[in-house]
Amino acid sequence: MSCRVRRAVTAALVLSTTGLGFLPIAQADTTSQTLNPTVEAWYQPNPTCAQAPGCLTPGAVPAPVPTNPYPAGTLHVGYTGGAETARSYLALSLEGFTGTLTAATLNVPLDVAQDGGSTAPETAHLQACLVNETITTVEGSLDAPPKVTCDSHAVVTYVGLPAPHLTADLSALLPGLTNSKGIALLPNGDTATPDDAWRVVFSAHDRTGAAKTPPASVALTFTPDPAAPVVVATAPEQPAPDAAPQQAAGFPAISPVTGIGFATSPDTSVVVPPTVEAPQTATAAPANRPVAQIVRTPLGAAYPGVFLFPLALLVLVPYVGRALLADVDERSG
Amino acid sequence: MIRQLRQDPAAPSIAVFVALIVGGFVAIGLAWNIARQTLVVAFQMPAILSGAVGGLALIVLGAGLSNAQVGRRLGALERAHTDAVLDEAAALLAALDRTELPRTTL
Repeated sequence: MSCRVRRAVTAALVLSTTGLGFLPIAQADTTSQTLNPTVEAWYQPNPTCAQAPGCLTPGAVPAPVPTNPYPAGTLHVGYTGGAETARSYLALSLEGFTGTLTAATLNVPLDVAQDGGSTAPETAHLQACLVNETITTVEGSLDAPPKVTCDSHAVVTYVGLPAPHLTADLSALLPGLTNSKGIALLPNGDTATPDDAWRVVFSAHDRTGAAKTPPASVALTFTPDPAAPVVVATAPEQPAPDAAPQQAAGFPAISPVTGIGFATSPDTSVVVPPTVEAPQTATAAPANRPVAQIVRTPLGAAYPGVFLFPLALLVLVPYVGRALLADVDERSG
Repeated sequence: MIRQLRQDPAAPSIAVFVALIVGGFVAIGLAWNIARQTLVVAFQMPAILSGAVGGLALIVLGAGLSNAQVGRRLGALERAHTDAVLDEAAALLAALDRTELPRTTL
């Protein structure tokens, strides 16, 4: 092989190696953002709905009935005796989102302390469904929960290490996620068995105390719309205090049906005296509620001139080799 | 002084190697400047790794190359001085031959 050919091959290899640095990274324009729900709620079925007269709300009985014996700021999903005992809602404000979601992952750190109500969380079978109605902050409400759509649902799995948490790939929910009001966590009717008895507990974002665990989060990966401004999600609207009272009922049937003993929609007509109003268990939302914010952080080189680095390396390496091999004796003359 | 440096065959390469050291310190400074502007560790880590570690690598590389080149240059000077001494001795012997002095007197 002649010297000229060797030089040409060497130059080609060096140039091709340097060119690797200029190859665009796949999905380089995608953006990741983690959202923490700012509105959470959990509901439990009304035990009176299984009775013949129909459902009674706490306001319809003479004395207020404590409906939530669990610590404040906790959220629950439970399944016992073949029936759903609790479900939770996480509000995600993505109404103004204009990008294209490519992936979403739900992460729910669990509070496994038994005094918080946790029972056999490792045996839990949950699913995540889209919510079609506005989610308000309630804890252990017996009211009818917001409607959910479980035609496309994501399976939520329990992970014990490094800390107990639930995780779910929300890819199945991506088509409708931006138009939904949030995500509901409820027992998975596909995998639940009558012998199951579990209850998972996790913390709301505003929970206080030493037992607080990190709040649930949803990691979104999306391709931002280059023509759209930075999207700032707004807090979901809270219903007015004088809004029509919610249906006092158990949970409506969902697909797949998960509950046994829950009142169906026709049974939700409640005999409530018109003069008696059910107490609002929802806490009034402050005017300046903190909202989840999507900040566009496009990937890429922060310093465009970085492309000169491999070129400088291309010049520097042979120069160093030549300098270290050159004659350093005194020049004559 | 400048003229001597210009005539020194190792001066340009040593200057380049010293520039590498300076560039390493500049990279560390840039990394610190970027990292101090945010509390987000996810943004700090790339700056620290690319700037500080890269800067440290530049400093080590520049110092090593400078040390090697200066060693070569000092070796060349030593050889030159040895050659000069030998040349002087040879010249002295030649001068003695011309004066025809008995060699035993040396």
